[in-house]
Amino acid sequence: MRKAPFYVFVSVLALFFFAFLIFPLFGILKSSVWDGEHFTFAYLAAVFQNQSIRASFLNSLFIGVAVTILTTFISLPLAYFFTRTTFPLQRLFQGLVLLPMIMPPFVGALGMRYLFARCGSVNMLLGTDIDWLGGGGLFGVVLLEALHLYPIMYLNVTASLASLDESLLESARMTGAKPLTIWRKIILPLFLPGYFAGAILVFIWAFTDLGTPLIFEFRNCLAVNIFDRVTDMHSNAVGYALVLLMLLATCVFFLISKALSKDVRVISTSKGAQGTAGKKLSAPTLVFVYALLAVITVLALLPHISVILVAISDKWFMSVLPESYTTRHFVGAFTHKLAVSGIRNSLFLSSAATACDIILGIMVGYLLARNKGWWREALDALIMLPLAVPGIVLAFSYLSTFSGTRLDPLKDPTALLIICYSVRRLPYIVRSVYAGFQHIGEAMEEAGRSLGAGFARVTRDITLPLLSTHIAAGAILTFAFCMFEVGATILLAAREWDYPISKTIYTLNMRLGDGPCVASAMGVIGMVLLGACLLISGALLGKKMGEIFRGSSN
Amino acid sequence: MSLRLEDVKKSFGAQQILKGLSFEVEKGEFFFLLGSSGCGKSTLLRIISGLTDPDGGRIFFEGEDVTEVPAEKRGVGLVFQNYALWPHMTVYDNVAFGLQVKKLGKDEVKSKVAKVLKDVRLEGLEKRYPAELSGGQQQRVALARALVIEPKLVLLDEPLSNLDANLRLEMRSELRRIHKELGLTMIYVTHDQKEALSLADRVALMHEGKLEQLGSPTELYRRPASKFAAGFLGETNFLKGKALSKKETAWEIETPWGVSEIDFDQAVGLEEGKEITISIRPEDLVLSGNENAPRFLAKVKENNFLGDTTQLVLEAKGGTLLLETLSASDLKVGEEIKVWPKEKDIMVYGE
Repeated sequence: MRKAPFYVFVSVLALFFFAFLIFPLFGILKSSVWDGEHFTFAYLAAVFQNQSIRASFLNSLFIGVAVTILTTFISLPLAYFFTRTTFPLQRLFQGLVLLPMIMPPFVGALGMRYLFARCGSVNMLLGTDIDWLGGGGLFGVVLLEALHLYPIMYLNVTASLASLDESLLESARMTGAKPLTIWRKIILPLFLPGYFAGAILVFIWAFTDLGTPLIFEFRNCLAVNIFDRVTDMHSNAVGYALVLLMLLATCVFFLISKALSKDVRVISTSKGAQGTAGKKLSAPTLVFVYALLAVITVLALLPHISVILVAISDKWFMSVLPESYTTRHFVGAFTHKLAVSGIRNSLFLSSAATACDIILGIMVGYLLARNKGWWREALDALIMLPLAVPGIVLAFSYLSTFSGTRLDPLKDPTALLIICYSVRRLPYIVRSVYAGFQHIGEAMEEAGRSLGAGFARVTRDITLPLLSTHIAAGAILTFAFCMFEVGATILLAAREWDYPISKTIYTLNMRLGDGPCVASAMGVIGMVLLGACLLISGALLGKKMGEIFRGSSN
Repeated sequence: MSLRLEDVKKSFGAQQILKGLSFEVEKGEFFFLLGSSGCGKSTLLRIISGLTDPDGGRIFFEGEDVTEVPAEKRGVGLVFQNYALWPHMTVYDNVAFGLQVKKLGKDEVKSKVAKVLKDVRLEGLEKRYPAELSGGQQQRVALARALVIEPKLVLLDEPLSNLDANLRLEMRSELRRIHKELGLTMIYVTHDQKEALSLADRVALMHEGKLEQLGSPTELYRRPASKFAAGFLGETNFLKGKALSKKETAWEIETPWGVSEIDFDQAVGLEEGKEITISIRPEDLVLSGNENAPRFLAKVKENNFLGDTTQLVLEAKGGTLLLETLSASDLKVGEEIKVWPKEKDIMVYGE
């Protein structure tokens, strides 16, 4: 073990996590059960006795579960057909199904209202009066989130399926096992851990999402309830108890999924890429696959299309499509003071948070992959904790912990927004970097040391170049997520000129007149920006990916 | 460079991997650490390289204690089992790395890399990436990278285990040539006894974290110090017997072919009146001899033609025996034959 970097990394990380995760969350806990003088359950009791809060909790739970189930049904066939079969236009569709990632659901919600509202396009077209968004927007929230989140599920499920090497199934078949037995004994045990790892991300996201319900004006859920209580947080402790309730719920679900997704160490002995040798599809199956892909792609792109339509609509009321079109909302988005500063702020905050995460992520990845000890599991749990801590919970805790200090978000939220984004997105980059370290293997670094290179030299010339693909992959994901972070952003950014894109969109949307249209135009700009980011880095990564695969042929 | 280990210990968790090892390796020696997987030989190699810290004991290079010296300061060349070639660097960059770390001038680096690539016969492949090389070529790059820094000691961790049989034979003679030409001290870890017996000056046979025997390949093969050593190196037959009495110059023992006398250096841990195990190699059983010499009867169970030799599986009083003979044997299965043991080549172990 290298002692100097070890202690430096541990100290930096310990300080960071204590100051910006443990301490603020502990503050929430304390404020929920401490009235200043005594220990009390009064606030928690108030939460449980309040019927509307109970209903909110159940609604949030429903959203979480429903979205998880929906995304599962969308992802499973996609993952299966993409990893296990080959058919024409496969690459195109593989790209298309990931498109929802470039637009967060609350932006999609801006446009979907125009399509599915009581007097929206769909009812106009069909001549019906159906409440498509159902339950005061509840179904709309579920649909939007499912359509946005299924790529996360799909990516996890695909990775899981790809690790199911064909030879594992073949060797099972050679023993004479029946297909059902193979499913039960081989496929499911190897597949489920990866599935649960993805499912919990989707669940927590949906369970705690603030942006989409706000745009649909579905106020009867936990996240919106917490949002409503921020203003009187210093005088009413029920807000704290509510935050604690949400945190406990996510932690419990997180722990359950952790137990269900216990690491299965897949020993990869096959050379090069796995699971690529797919079987060709028969004509009827091919038709089915195309139909399925078409439905999913159209549904997934509906929010994008609708937002674009709103952004270019001049007049759109009680008609299937806008009556006339204009580009003036885009002009607005580029000239409106709020919009310009929103884009600038988001670019700056996301870049800073990503840079911060790259540094922290490499440290954590190194500690987890290259050191042994009892503390490894503790560190891993700590790093993954932010996955269970919703954005609004963290933001709420920052507001209560840092108000009145030099970091007071009311004075300048920049630092806390960067930190908040970094803390929340760190798990993604850590996972990616850690996988990179595993992929490289320690011998690569040891070979450098045995030739006389010190830690810094080995890191610069060997570790970082070999890790670059994984760092880039994690960084892109982090950046994309930060650009459209909603929960923490809406709570922390208090002054208009500090608003990042998401809060700008939310604010513009509430303005009468052109507000929603300019907001949609901003959504489109963000969409293009994110899409471009992903494309560029995808191209970059693709080349590197090939290099890495060539390099690891032994 | 000479190497000395004193009571080196290492545990991973509750499992003790190395249970106190001490031995010396002489300058210019081709030294082998041999043992089955899990015996601790790779851990020992890593401890010598400095990549793993021992829990106890000392390591000396040329009499100097290097136990606390980190890997990068030990000046030891290490060849990894999977080569650990950096995939993002060309052959040239891989080999030049160690010299660049030492801040050598560009021309010096160039000439040294050229020389070492010539030594391992890889001229002309400087610009290739590792993935564009065959297994044998990758192996040579790994070797060149370790050799180029002119290490005082070269450590090789199962360097040939990823190669196919023909290439392994070829690389074996390459290693012998390089060792001889450069006069290096080399420590080689392997579980392949043929590699050890054919290349080594001396072999340390390890078993469960302890040194089972240390000696030349001939010593290990002809005079294995324990039943384990006898069974691990080459094939052998184990027969039951009894230690009768210790005479002035020899032991008198009871064998399946009668009472015999054996030299003291053929006996390990015998006690009068106790059971013994007799180890006799298949090639030390012969099918012809003096009618007065000790011999026994056996029945042919199998007759396996192996090309250069013939292997007979025999059923005798002491159990099933393997016999290897150079003469193509036309013996039939079920036939009863006479077998002469070469008593001077047997080993006897107390229980």
